[in-house]
Amino acid sequence: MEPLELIQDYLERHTDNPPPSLTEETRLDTLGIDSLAMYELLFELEDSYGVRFTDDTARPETIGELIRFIESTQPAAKNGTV
Amino acid sequence: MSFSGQHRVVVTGVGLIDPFGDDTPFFSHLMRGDSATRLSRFSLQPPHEPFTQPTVQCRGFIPETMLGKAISSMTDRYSQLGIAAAFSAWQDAGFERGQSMPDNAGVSWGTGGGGVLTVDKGYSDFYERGKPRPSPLSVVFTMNNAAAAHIAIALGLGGACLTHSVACASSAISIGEAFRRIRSGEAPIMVAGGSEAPLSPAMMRAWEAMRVIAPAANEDEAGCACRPFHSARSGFVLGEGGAALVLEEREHAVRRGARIYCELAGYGQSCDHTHIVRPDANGQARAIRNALHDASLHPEEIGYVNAHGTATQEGDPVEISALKTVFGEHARRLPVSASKSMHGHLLGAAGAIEALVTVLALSRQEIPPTAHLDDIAPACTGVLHVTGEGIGDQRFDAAMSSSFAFGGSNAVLVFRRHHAF
Repeated sequence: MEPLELIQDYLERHTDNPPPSLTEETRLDTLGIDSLAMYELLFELEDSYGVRFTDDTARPETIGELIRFIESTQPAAKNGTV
Repeated sequence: MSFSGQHRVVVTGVGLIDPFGDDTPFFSHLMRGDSATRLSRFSLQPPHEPFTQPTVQCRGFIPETMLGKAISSMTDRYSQLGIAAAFSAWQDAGFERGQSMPDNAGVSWGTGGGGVLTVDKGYSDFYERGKPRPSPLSVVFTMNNAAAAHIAIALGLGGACLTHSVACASSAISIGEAFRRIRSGEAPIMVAGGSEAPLSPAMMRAWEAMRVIAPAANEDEAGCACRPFHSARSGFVLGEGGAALVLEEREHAVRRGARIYCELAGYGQSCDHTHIVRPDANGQARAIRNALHDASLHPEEIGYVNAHGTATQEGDPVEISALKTVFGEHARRLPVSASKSMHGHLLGAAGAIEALVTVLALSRQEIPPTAHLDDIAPACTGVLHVTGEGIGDQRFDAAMSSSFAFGGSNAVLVFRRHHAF
């Protein structure tokens, strides 16, 4: 599953009124979930893609920034170095 | 307000997750002596073998349907059952969600284990599956005050938000403590009750290990596994569920034209202070006497007792002994039944569902039976056991619900019909 699909799936499972469509420009603070649910979403992304969001990770503000961070770590993740 | 200067407390709403989950009303099932117990099958990872145990599960309860995804995805099943029961009671009381409430309206909730299913999954993920950490929501799922907090948030209740965890007396105490808040004038309305979702395989095995779970080899045996006061009683069946009452200061209820089921007239507590699990008739009798004294009622005025009745070898005779001690000659004429035989043992929510049964019995003037009681144990005689089907068209003014917990913590609630004077 692509990251955008995973985020859409998460929102459909966790919110009563998920956004009808997501784009890379969609801001994370408009997804209708609180900070705890956002952590849960990030943990699902970590488990799915083998990435790790740490305190040093630049805080993504849009879905596009989130996807680019995941993609930037994928080769390293495959090498087991992340 | 009563002559004593204390406020009177009435029940204006009841809510329940119906374990039968069909079109027949819950209380009608009880009056017929129906059992909601089924044989549940649990599959586990090797080396564990699959196992069966008779349980009561709220199979018709779909949290996403009743609560929406936003609440249900942020809560353990014990909270979901509790929130849904509270919503049901709230609606039954004639209130709407989001309706403005007095600042001191509150919640008083009971649970024994809280989010044990989430704990179970978190440990399994962490220790067995090697996940680096449990879900970040684990803490807010498992905490014992999660149900109460979600109820307060959803219903806009800004007064006291209390959680009582006193084993199987948890929600009887939650109702009793809410009663005291209203009676003292600290709150005009309290949502009180309890919820439990204890059907984690590990916890079920732990209960089995204590030799208090009634065995059942097949579906037929499961249906009548829990037989309180029976000569062949062999323990209880675990049940999940939630039940809630809306308690209200009487004048507040009358002013808004609320339907009043009955009055909550008294609450008594005691501690056996003898043993961590072995019940003590003297301790139980103290709680019963305290409740009667609190309600300013004589023993002869009680017309029905919903007993704790766990169907354990040791517990049932002790409870009957306590009743005979307090009620004396009246005990032989005192209708007693244990509705656990039909809805199972809801542990921390047991006091709430049994208080609800008592409220319905009193307001309908009908007494449900102890199911499957066709051979009363000699050690359990001396009260008027209600057997077979329930008895209707009764005339009684007051009823009692007893909860006697591990730890020796006892709580008794006394309800009476509502009178204007």
